Formats: sequence, C-alpha cells, structure tokens
Amino acid sequence: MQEIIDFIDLLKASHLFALTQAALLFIVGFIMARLISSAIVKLVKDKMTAHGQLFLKRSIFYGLLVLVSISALDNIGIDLSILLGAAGIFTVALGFASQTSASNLISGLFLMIERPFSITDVIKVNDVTGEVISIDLLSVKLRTFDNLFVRIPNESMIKSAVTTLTKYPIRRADLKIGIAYKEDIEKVRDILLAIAAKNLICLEEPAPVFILTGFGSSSVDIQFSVWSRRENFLSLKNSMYMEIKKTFDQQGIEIPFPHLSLYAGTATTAFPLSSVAEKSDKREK
Amino acid sequence: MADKAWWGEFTFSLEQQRCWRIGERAIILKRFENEWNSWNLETDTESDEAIMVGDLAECTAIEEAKFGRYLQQNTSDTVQILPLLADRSVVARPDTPLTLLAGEKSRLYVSTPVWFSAKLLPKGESLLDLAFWRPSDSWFGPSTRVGQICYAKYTAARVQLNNIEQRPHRAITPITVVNNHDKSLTIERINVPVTLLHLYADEANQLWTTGISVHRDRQSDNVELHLDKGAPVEALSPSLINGPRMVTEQSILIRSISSLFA
Repeated sequence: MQEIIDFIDLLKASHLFALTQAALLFIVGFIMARLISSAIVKLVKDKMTAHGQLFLKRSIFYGLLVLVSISALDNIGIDLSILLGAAGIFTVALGFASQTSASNLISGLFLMIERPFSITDVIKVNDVTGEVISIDLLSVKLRTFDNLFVRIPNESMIKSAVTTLTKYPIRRADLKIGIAYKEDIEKVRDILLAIAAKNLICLEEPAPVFILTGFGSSSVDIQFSVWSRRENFLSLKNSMYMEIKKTFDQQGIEIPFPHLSLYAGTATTAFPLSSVAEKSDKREK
Repeated sequence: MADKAWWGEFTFSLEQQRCWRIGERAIILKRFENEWNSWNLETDTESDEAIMVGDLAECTAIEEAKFGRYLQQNTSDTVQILPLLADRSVVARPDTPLTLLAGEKSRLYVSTPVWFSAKLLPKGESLLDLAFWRPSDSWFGPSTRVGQICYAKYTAARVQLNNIEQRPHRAITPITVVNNHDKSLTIERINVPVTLLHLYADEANQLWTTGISVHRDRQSDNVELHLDKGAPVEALSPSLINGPRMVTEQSILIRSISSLFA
C-alpha cells in the first residue's frame, strides 16, 4: 500500500503524470464523443436525409473532440492563446469564403420585406422568364415556360432589374406594322382603329394608340398599341395580327418586302430591264 | 318593342326543342331523356328585330352553332328562361361629352345589353348564361394600375325618353345626376354598376332596371350613388323579372368621382 502511494507521489512530481492525465482524458473524451454523436443521430433518424444524418454525426463528433483536446492540452500546461490566434485567422478566412452566401441571405431578407413579387407571379430576371415556385433563403426558384427549373440567387435579384409580368391586370401589346410608301396613311389608320374596335378582347379604354415611328428603308413603319386583359395578351396579339393581314389583303394595302435599288455606278441611272418572251435582252449603257 | 315576352317557364316534352331568335342570332334548347342539348348560333352584328320563340323549323345553319350537352339522370321538364343583366359594370360613353351645369339635375337613359339565362326547375341548376351580343372589354379607372375590367358601349346617353331606342335585347337604366357643386360637371363616360340592379319589364315587355341617382355634393369630390327602390317611373305597369347578380345590403354607396365618371 505504502509503495503505491510512493509511486503515485513520484509520478506527481514528474511531468509524466500530467501527460498521462491528458492522455486518459483524451481517450475517454474520444469514446464519449463517438457514443453521444451516434445517440443523437439515432434520435433524429426519421427527420433527416442520409446526407444530413452523416453531417450531424460528424459535426457533433468533431466538436466534442476539439473541446476534449483543448482541455487535455490545457492540462499539460500548453499556453492556449496561440490556439486562439489560430482560431481568429480561421474565422476571417471563413468570413471571406462565405461572403456570397451571407450576401444572398441578407438579400433574401430584404426581398421578403420589400415583396416585389410572390409565389405564382411570373417574373423576368436578366434573360430568364418564368413562374415563381418558391422563394427561399438564398435563392428563388423559377419554372420557365418550356418547363425547366431555374435557380436564381437572391443577390442577383437585388442587383438587377426584376420585371414582374403579372403585377397589373391589363397589358399593352405593341404591334409593329410596315406599309408600302404608296399607301394612304390616314386610310390605314382608320382601318386599324376599326379592327381594334371590332375585336372584343381589345379594350376600348385605354384607347388604341397609332404611332408612326418613321420612314423605314423599305416601308413606312407604324406601331399600333392595343390593350387587353393580361390573360388575353397572347390571343389578342394573334387575333389582331391575323385580322390586320386579312383586312389589308382585302383592301389591297401592301405590306412590303425589303426593297433594293440597283445602280450601275455613281453617274448612271438604274438599269432598265424588260422581260420580253421573243426578243433577246437589250443592254444599254 | 317586343310584344310577347320571351321569358318565363317553358315545358319541354321529350325530344322537344325550342328556338329563341333575333334575326340570325339563335339559341336552341332540346330535351332528351338523360341530357339537355343547347346550340348557340352567334352573329357579329346586332339586330333590332323582336325576340321570337318558336320551334326549330325556322332556325338554319345549326352546324355552325356552339354545341353544349348537359347530363342529368332524369331530366326535368320545365326550364325557366330569364333575362339577366351584364356580369360586369357597363361603361356608357356619350358621343360628345355632356356638361351638367352647376346646381342642376338631369335624367339620362342608358341602355345595356341583356344576357339569356336558362335554369332547370325545380332545383334551379343553371344551363346557360349567354349574352345576346357580348360587348367589348374595357377598363374603367383612374390609371392603368387601379380600376376594374368592365364592358364598354359607345352610346348616345339620351336625355329625352322618346329618343331612346327600345330594343328587346337591351335594358334601359335611368340615371339621375344631381350636381350640387358650384362648378359644372363634365360627363365623358358613365360607369353603370349593372351587377347591383334589379330587372323589370313594363307593359310592352321592354326591359328596365332600377334607376340610380348620383349626387355630387357642394364640398367634396365624392359622389353618392343611390340605388332607387322599385321600378323606374318610366316603366308602365312594371313587373319584377330578376334580381341583381350581386346582392348588396347598402343602397347608398360612396364612390369617388373618378370611379363613376371621368
């Protein structure tokens, strides 16, 4: 008995005791961490995916292990302020790495407060048009009209212009029409207004707008803007274009193809060409 | 004027069909043992002829009509045909704006299109709810963001009763406008809240709605819209045909000027 006490006193004197203590602490801590992490994962087994379970188990295990190691090292007598310094540098590196994620998170928060659109609205961001199916913390998920799934990070929504197509109940369709130079513009205007009045889904108010945009290279360019309910937008465009083409054909109004005038050189007039069945081609200079 | 009422309860025996016609426009109903069939033959231009109820013999071009089939285990034999007013407000726009001078009042007459509704008795299942001639969509409101979708009709809002054309497929609404303000009121378009009005017929079977009166007060820019009670005075020997599409408890509605006139 006395010899054991002497042995322990001897160990206490030397550093070996502290080292042994630390080693014992570490081993016990390791086993405890394993057991605790497995137990917790068993508890939440049904609620998480396999991926999530593994992540949880690993993080708990390593977390506990780090704690145990720190206290073991402290026991030996190593100064921990070096570790604190290392942890500080590690946090800064982590901060830089998670910059975009944090930015997305905060953008998402601001989007939620501002609420420019909500689920089932149709929005257009940069070049992507689609129906909003969910608004999450970091991103917004869209379904495009050809049934593709697009994930847009919140950060790019805050930074760029987002067009909400389903915000207002009525919408204007701008129809681009070109007529030949020989046509009477007033007559064309009356025809277009009559077509708009006859079309039942084209709103009477706000009234259709006739704008002469300019004299184009091949045609007189006209923009005819008509309004309709948002739901009828596509059928309005289709029905108006079809009706305009039909009426123009009936009234003999020409929608021209691109024109090109041929000249021989700077000083000459255009080549006169005649197409005659029996005679051969005549060339004039 | 329509001399004989085209509405009411009609009894159908099996395989019997009936046709409601205005000119070329026709609505046909036929009863079978387990289903009802309907044909809706539409036309582009309005016709001012009388509405005639008859058998199929007079109706042609049935292949172009829109066909409907309504299934029932045992078809009932009575159909109630009633006229209904439009399912949205109708905006009437006079050819030239009317200016009601300060402190004056005036009575205008506006006609709105009528819908044809067919209901099966005794349970009241709705078979058809069709417009005779559907008016064009329009928008009424202070801006393109705020307002309501309605129907539009270019009209001459008549001031003299004998000037208004009495047509069987249109109902006439008398509107009394009272301008108590010290400035004159310019009326370019009138939003008639047709969904709140009752429908009456006079002794000549012309359709009328309850009148509305609009009061503009001295101080405010708000107008009070009063729904009159009962048939308008111009309807002689009126009988109530149908209630409003939307029932409202209030008979006085406060609206801003922009929601009724513009």
